[in-house]
Amino acid sequence: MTNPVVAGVQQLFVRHQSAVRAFAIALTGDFAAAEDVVQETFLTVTAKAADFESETNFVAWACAIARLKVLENRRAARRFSPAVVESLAASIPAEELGPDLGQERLPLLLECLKRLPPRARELVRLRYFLEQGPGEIAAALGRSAGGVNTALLKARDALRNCMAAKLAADGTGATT
Amino acid sequence: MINDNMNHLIEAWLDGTIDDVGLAELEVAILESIDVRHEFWRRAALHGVLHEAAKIEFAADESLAGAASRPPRKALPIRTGRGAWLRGGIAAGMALLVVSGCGIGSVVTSLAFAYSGLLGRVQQAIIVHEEGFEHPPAPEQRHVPDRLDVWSGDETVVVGAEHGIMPRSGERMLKFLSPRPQGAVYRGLASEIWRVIDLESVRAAAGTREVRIDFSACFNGCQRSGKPRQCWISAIATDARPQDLGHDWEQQFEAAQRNPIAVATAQARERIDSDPRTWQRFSVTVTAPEGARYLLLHCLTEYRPDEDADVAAHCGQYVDDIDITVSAAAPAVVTVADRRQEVRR
Repeated sequence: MTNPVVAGVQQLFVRHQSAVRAFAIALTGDFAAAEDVVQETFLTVTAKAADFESETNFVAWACAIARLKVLENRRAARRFSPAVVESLAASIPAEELGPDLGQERLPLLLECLKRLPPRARELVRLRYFLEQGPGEIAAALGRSAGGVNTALLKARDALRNCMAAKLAADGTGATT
Repeated sequence: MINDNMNHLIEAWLDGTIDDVGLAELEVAILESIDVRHEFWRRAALHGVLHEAAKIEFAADESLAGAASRPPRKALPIRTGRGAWLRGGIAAGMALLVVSGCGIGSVVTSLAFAYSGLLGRVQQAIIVHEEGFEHPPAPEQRHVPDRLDVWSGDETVVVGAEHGIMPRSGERMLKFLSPRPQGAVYRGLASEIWRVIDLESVRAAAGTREVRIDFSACFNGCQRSGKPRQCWISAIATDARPQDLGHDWEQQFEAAQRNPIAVATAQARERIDSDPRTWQRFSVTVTAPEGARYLLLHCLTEYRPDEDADVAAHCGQYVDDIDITVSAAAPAVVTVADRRQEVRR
């Protein structure tokens, strides 16, 4: 029979993978390296499923494992020092990387993406879908790298503002 | 309060453009300031979820966006080679064309023309079918299907992550359970699924009579004995009707030699390892001759009665991310390919 504890923990992992992946991307600064970290984390989570206490925070537990995988990972060209990784891992705000990242904010972000101006939307596509770096994007579009960096920053700010507005509207709607 | 310089450094880290000096400055700030750490996570959370959102948002209109751009449907572990099976070179307009009602009915079936503006060249391909087992229906259990556009075969089950194996993409994959359809009693040494596609509707979309078909599937498994298992995929372009294929589909390989005007076959077979962390992609290409009306697709994994009798409760053999694309073919001889692209980290 499938071990129900293992199955339950694996289901939790799938449900909260957005947060774990965001954690890995943040600490590696590299999409490919982050995928390796997520993969290794899943295997360890599976192996240590019996150690998870069901009343505790799964994301925190999984990210603690992912932190070790980040430290072991040598893939990214530039890496945070172990002290910085530890410092960041110890200070994750629950409201930023909590369980609702994939379940609540992802749908909001998808709505906001559709409203992004075409040029900004194209930048997001190049950066996040095709996983191109700003340098590659600049070369492909004939723009300066600095210009692409700034445009990306603005695009992300616009998305953040859009999500905040939607969250605020939902909150208002819920209380009135 | 975080200054603009620190915000730029955080963004530069997330975008992979930070230099050594900037990294050193950012590290000091992170260690010294809780505000910087909070701002870091605020920006990093958006960065992470935006990556996921983009995979969802742009997947539909970019699923064939060129040799450098094949993404997972939804990011899940296992890194893959990027789009090596995709070929292009035929000029087309920049458009997404999703054709429905063309006789290839499936939730994930679409015909899409995609354009790779990044590479400065236009590429066209037609997605005939993408199967990640994310949507119903699950494959039927009736051996070779006698009708179009359904997966059917031996006993299988759609599962999520289990036994240390994650779906190659998305949240589901197909697990082979037995070497026979449910309820059948014969013995077997292989567990298989099939699908039949009408090539006429594909030709209409491709605009040519002779079409090139690229068929790939990813396998994974973790056998208790650790012994590698044989898997294979086959693509058979044939003039035989679906209802006639059930009993003699294997003979199509011989028929291809006798009647290259109507039949062409391609097959890739290889052993897969028992490492649950690796998915291995099998790919074949077949050029369907003008006389071939149907395309029979076949995925097989070896079944071992001694190990697999109770595989429903244990790790076994899995397949995921089956892709079929069609492009206009240059005149070519019958192709019998045996190629394999291994997917490893």
